[in-house]
Amino acid sequence: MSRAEQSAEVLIRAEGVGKSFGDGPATLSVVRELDLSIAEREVVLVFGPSGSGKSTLLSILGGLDRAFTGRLSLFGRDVTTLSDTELSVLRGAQIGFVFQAFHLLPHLSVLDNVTAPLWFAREHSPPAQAEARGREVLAQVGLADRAASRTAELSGGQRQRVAIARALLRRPRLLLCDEPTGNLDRATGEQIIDLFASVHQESDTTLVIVTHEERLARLATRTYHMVEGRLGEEPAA
Amino acid sequence: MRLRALAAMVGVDLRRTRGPLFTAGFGIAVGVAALAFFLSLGLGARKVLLGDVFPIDQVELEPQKTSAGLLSLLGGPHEPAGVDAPTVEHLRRLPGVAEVYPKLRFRFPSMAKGGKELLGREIGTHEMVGDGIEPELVAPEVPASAFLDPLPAATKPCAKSADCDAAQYCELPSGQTAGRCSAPVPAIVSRYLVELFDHAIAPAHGLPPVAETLVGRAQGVVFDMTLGNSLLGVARQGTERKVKVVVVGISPKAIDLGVTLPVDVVRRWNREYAGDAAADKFSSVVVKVNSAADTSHVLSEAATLNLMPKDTRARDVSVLITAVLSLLLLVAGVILLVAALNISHTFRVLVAERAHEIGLYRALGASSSDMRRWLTALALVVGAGAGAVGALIARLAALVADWRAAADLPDFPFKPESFFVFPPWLWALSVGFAALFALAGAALPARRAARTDPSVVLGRDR
Ligand SMILES: Nc1ncnc2c1ncn2[C@@H]1O[C@H](COP(=O)(O)OP(=O)(O)OP(=O)(O)O)[C@@H](O)[C@H]1O
Ligand SMILES: [Mg+2]
Repeated sequence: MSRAEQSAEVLIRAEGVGKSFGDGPATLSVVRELDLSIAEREVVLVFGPSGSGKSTLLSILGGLDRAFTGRLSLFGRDVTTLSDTELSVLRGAQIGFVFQAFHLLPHLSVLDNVTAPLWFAREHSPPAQAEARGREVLAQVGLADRAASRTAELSGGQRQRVAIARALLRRPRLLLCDEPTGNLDRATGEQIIDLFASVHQESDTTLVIVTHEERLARLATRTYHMVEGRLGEEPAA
Repeated sequence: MRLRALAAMVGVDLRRTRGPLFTAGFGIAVGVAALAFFLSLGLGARKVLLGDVFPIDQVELEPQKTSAGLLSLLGGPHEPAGVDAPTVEHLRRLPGVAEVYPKLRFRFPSMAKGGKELLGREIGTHEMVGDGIEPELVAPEVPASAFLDPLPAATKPCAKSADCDAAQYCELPSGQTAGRCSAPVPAIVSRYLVELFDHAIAPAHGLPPVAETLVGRAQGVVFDMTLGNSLLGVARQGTERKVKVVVVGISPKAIDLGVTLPVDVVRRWNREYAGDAAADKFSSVVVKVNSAADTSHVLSEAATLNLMPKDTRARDVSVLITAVLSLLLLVAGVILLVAALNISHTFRVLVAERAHEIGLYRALGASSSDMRRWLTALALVVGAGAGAVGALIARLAALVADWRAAADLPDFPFKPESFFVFPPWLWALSVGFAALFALAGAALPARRAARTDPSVVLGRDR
């Protein structure tokens, strides 16, 4: 299959997806009537005020939250028909997450943090091969020399780059990022934005980024605004 | 999730959470130590009490006393029921039966006196009890050749013991005029009697213990035995006379309290003092079974032959040991239960603290059952490790207890070298039980881990 044919592939297709917390009069609808489809190699930004449901949306799109209404398919597979294990395998192999709070494991070295996704892989990777791949992604984020460090010794920007390296380890086709620059200062945030730009270019990874960072707009193929659970598309700038 | 990865995760956890896991494992280790200690003590007690004191793998059977026996008291002379040779053969062929040795009890009153060369002064009893068994049955403790009726070898005629060598006596049955000079009749005694003498009777009377000398002496201790008379009365027939008896060894086949002689000798003397009926049939049979488990079916077979167990002490002691052991094991069980609750608590805290970590793992591709497996494996390793440590503690405690007992406890009958038995399966059982309780404790927290909402990783640190 040529790349041109592949480009048509839709990675995410959501139809009438809704999500609410609680029941009765206290019901809080966090995601409403969501229709969305994201094709390979897109860079989709989601802006929106605090509490509008952006993180909830990402956890649905990443298959972490299955308690929603409506239909969702990921990589052409209907999420509601997959078992937890099948969905987890799909998630591990195809989706990378980057979090605002980094979520690195402080008791492990940088390299071990980066190779952690292999713990849950179906296929076995020999340790030497795992280490080589870990060093490769660390080099990609510019941290080749910090492989042996503890995460506590790193700056905020470096930690986020380790987290991105970890997300890239298994060559995911889709990267879901929840405010990846939210905990970083302006200059450091700029480095991360550059990193996303190069990742997108080098690996053709599809990006869905929830953010308040306007500077990311230069990467975007589409931009959405989320308000009270509803997603509204902005015309491309 | 692959086993290798699981092992790596558990290995990392053991290092980073060693404090709480050590504390949680400690309780399990203590519980298992108590369990293994009590169990091995129970096994030890069983071995000594049921192996040496009241052997449970052997049972003495004798004819049931029927109402016919009572009636015969009113009628003529009392004919004791006996066990005949075909019955003995029948018992020998029963499945599960290892050995059968028939016994013939003394049917005549007797007294005994002697022991000067061993004890420094004469001791004796005015009521001597005894029985006879086949010489080939005393091996291996005593060679059969040392336990033979001495009469066939006797040749020199005599009318009284003074006619014989100093070591011999004149075997002159009642009513006869010519006897023969006989070597002393060999006798075996029970370890029970020796232990009782050494640890209870000897200290009370200021006598030296005999066990070592009795076994060690080539030339046995000689006793004078009076036949046909005792404190309780004289024999129905025959006249009172004296014979010599020499103790040739200690054997578990000997009667508990009394002496055991070659059966031919007892048969002769029974005929002399109580008539033919007392000589031709055996009074009881000792049946040795292959394992204690065979006892019950041998007993029921014997009942059809009208044979009943004479002594139920072995089974009584067995029940007593089991009861005490159950009580102690209950204590160990309670400790283990508390330890399991402790594990449960530790793991619940662990899971709660790691909500974000679990969310991260789920995001990295872990399934919810991977998360359950992770905590279950951790509990399994902690439990099995604690079990091994607990069993080791129990073994060390047993060694210390044995050492203290050897040093501090006074001698008593059947004092064993070790009070404990540690078979290999006890180690396996300890580790298995520990793992089981740890798993039980971790089951709910592991489920909770599987159910942890993974979406907590998104958004700000909540
Ligand atoms: N587990 C939950 N139980 C109940 N309410 C929840 C839960 N998770 C999120 N919410 C609510 O859903 C709404 C949307 O939350 P969400 O985290 O998706 O917002 P957000 O757009 O990511 O906000 P922010 O920009 O502050 O990260 C909020 O009102 C929040 O309180
Ligand atoms: Mg959010």
